[in-house]
Amino acid sequence: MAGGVVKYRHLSRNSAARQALLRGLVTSLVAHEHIHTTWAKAKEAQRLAEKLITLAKRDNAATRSKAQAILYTPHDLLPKLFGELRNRYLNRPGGYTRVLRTEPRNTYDQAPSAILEFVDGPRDMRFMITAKAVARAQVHGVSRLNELTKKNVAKVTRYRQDGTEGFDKLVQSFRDKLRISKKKGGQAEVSEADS
Amino acid sequence: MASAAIVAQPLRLPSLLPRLSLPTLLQAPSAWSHSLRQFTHPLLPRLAIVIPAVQLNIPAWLGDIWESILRAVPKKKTTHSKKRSRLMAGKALKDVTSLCKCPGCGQVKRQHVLCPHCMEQIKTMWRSENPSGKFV
Ligand SMILES: [Zn+2]
Repeated sequence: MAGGVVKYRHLSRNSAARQALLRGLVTSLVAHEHIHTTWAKAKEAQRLAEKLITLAKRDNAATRSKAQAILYTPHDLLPKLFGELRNRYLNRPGGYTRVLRTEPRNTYDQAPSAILEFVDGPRDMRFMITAKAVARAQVHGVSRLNELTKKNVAKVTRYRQDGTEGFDKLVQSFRDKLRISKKKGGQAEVSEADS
Repeated sequence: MASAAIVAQPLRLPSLLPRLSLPTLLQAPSAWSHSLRQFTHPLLPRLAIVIPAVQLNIPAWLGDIWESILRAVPKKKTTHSKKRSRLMAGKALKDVTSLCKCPGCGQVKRQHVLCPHCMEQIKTMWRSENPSGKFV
């Protein structure tokens, strides 16, 4: 590392171990749609995941064999990669994954951690949290949304299939939850903290 | 008789007390030389000049260094607390000041970091939706 430009994080491993780690992370990502790991690992796995989706979008014999070489369980996951995921990202010009920083995962491992997720998938954390923020603003009678929330709403619904409808439906369900807890607890803030 | 005793004593003592050899040799000379002078003076005048000179010269020369330099060591072991506070000086945890209000639940959270409360709520929702967590 001394004296040279670092092209990628070495993650304290030699090449083979690093490759194995990243393959494992990406395989889990494809299977589970999101993974929670350290921030550095998430950022490195993100590179490989984006490349994997690019392979899926190109979809020919060469890319299929390359994708098979990345995934640990290609039998289960290749149909999903070249079917569902490929269709999901066909119109999106890159940026298929997202890394969100989170609080440390436990008391003892205080490493900076993050969630790596597929954008517009069923485990899209930003989609959920934005919907929750919008729902809270509506319940509290705030007419103008936060600038950042507005931007997030646009991001989250832009390429999603039935994005706006799905988002509104989710906002509605969050609003119902908030209303119920407001009635129950009297004070909205307290009951929200519990829920 | 006396000369034999004089020669034997300084030779034997270091081997008997190897750990204390230097300090005892150096601290003792006044007592030894005193006893030596008593023994040697009447019987062997020639030896009496040589041996007390050896006995007195070396300790006097080394004794000064011993007291001033070789003894200049810490008197007490540095305590664990003292050592740790010295090594950790200026490395204390910093206050987290970049905080904001979570737009999803209204609680305080760190900026640029997901709200742990909202995250937990959403994860519980997902878990009840799909306990296996797999989408294959
Ligand atoms: Zn929150």
